[in-house]
Amino acid sequence: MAMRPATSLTALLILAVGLLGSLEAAADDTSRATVQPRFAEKEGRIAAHATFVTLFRDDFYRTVGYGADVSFFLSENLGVELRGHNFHSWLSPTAEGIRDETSLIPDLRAPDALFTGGVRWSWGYGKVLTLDRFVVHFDPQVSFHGGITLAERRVIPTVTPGIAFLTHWRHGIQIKLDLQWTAQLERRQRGWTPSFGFAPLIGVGWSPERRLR
Amino acid sequence: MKPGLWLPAALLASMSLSACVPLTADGPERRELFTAFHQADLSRFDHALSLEEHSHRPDAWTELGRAFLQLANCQEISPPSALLANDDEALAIYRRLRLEDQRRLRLVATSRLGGDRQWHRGTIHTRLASRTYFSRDPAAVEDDLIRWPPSDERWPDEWPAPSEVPYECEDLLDRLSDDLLDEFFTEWALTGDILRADPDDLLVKVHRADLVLAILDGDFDLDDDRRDEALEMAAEALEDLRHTEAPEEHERLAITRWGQALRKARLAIELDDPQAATYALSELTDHPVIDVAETARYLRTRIAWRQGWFEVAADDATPLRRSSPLFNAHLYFTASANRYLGHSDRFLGLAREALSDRQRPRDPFLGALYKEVLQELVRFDVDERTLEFLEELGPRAGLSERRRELAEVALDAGRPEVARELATPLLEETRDARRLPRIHAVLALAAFLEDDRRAFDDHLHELTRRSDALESAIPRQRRAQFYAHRDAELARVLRAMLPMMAEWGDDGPARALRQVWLVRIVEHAQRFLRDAPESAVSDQLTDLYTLASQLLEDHPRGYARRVGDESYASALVLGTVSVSLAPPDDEAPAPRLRWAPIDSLLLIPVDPIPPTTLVHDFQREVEP
Repeated sequence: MAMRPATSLTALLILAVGLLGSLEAAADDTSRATVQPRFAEKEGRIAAHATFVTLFRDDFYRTVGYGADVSFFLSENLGVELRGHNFHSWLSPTAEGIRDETSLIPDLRAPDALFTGGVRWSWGYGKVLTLDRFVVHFDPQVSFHGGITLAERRVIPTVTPGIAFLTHWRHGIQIKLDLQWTAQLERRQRGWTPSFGFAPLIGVGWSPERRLR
Repeated sequence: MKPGLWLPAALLASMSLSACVPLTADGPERRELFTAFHQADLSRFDHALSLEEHSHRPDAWTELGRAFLQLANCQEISPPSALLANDDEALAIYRRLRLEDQRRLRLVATSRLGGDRQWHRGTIHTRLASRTYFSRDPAAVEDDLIRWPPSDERWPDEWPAPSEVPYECEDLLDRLSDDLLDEFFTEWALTGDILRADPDDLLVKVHRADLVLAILDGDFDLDDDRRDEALEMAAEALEDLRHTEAPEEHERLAITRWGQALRKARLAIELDDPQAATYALSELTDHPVIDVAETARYLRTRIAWRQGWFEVAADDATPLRRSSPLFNAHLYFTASANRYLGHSDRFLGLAREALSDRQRPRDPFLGALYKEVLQELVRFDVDERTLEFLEELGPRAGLSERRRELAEVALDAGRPEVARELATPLLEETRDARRLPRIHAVLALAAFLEDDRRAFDDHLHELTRRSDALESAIPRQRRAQFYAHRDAELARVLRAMLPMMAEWGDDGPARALRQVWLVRIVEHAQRFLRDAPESAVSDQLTDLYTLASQLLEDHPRGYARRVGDESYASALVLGTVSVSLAPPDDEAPAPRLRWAPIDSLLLIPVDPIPPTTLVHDFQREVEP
């Protein structure tokens, strides 16, 4: 399915969460359908991205990270992906104050790294006109990853469902924004405890124009 | 900056600083418009046109292509824009297209009246109006293309997608005007536009002939103005065709030299121009289709005969095929023309050909020819050849009847000796007593014309005689019916004699001879009326008796009747009335010359555009 997003970033974000379905209904039925080449094709191509990520949990830590992912699309719609992140975490000012006063630190460990594998599904194709001059082509996507988080000797099972916004640039360059939710199950002193968070990610990568198959 | 704002800021920054895809106005480079049309792929043709229109480079050829699409889809053809009107070549093609569209409307309208569902037979419309000839479904969008749904937005980096071209020819009738004749005259006006631009356009000239003939042939209630207009159009069309010859390149469009001649002949016939008609028909007499050739020969002979051009009519002396429905009429006109020219041998030869095994009574032309043969034969003395010829004129069983008929014709022709020679043997040969009175009547008249009074009396006696045996066997009230035939012959003889006598002149010997015969008529009539008062012809004979009596110069009864009777007998006008032997003109077959319609009036460009080649029909072999 193809869609035409509105021309502002805000609208892009709205589209990204799937609220644009009604736009097609407003189209003029008497007009002719149009076609255009995909700006970038994905099928049979490999893509690699350098990523910058941050993880928000209500956990007294500040966490940012960097990493890389590699994906391969079996078709224009469906791809598989491997991802790894290295995190840098530090206590929030509030937690530091508690630690300084009480010598207590959170039972939840600061994440050090995340390794996942999963699938990525492009459910549409869009473009946006910016500044009345530039057209950005993009794929709205959903992804689902599963893997482990390493946190100070703890190994934490983790899944990260998310929605993504993959833009195509010249020369095979891709910039993507992944909005991931995280769900983890960590064995703390009180037992297995689930925790949820939000991990937005921006990635800059490249996909060669030649197909692998 | 708060961490939550990093990502949008980074995205905006990267978009602003890096090379996004610029918005361009470049469309695909296509200048091959008509290939898809030739290949009957309407969807692809429509797509090609849309691509041209989308590229902001549409020109007269794009508009022309759109008009071809409208034609193929039975839609109303859009009027030409200034762009098209200023391109002479494209405009010329457009005008043809409008004409073809109008022809289709007219054909459909005409067929609706006549209930002919095959209105498109022989024309390009068998393909143009076909539901299946064209491919109308769009090709599938290729995998590497994004298909955007219909939208008002126009992105220059998008171009129109192939789309379905629905079949709309079912709605063709909606475009018809209420007055069918309007469609004809509109079509004529369109041909005028084309010929003003190109006075040498043979295709359109020939089409004009078809058009005007369709008007004249149509079952229209033409008022005087429109009829005059149509006849002027016909004259114009004929004049155009006279000065043009069909070149070989138009062979496939059904415009051949034969077609030209056929059209010229029909136009000339409609215009009642016998000279032009016979000239055009002469060109057709060696047409390869035997039916057409024979029809042309017949029409030519008939027209020439009606005009009194007997040399022309007699020229075509070879009979048509016996199986032809025109055989009798053609032979009659040819033979008759030969007779008028004095070519007796050729006339009789043709007559023998026609009459030898044909059922004469059923056909007015054979009947007329037979009478002319008899008239010709009585010019000669009776000999073996006469009798042999009579034998060949029909079945042997009817020979006696033919001899008697020839004898009667001889009487009319003033050849009593021929009549006598023919009829006398019949008295011996005829076994049916019911036919004898007619023979005696013929012989009586022959004797009268030969002034053989004894023989006349003898034959009249045979007509008036009442045998005693019959008188005793037949009651009085039934005698009138029993003797009706014989009495009618008697009346006929006496009635025929008076005008014959009147033609003898008024000199002394003639008057004397007339008086002799008037006395005989009076006496015979008087005797018969006395002996057979019950006769069915008594009234007629009484009138004749009265009239003859009045004409007697010194007969006492005649004188007495003349001065004593105030009620004169019926007036008798004497003279010769010439009755044509030819059958009425409306009995002559009036076959229609027919020909294949022009296949196509179109000129279709062949890619690349602008074209160097124009064709009349689709070329499906064109490489995509």
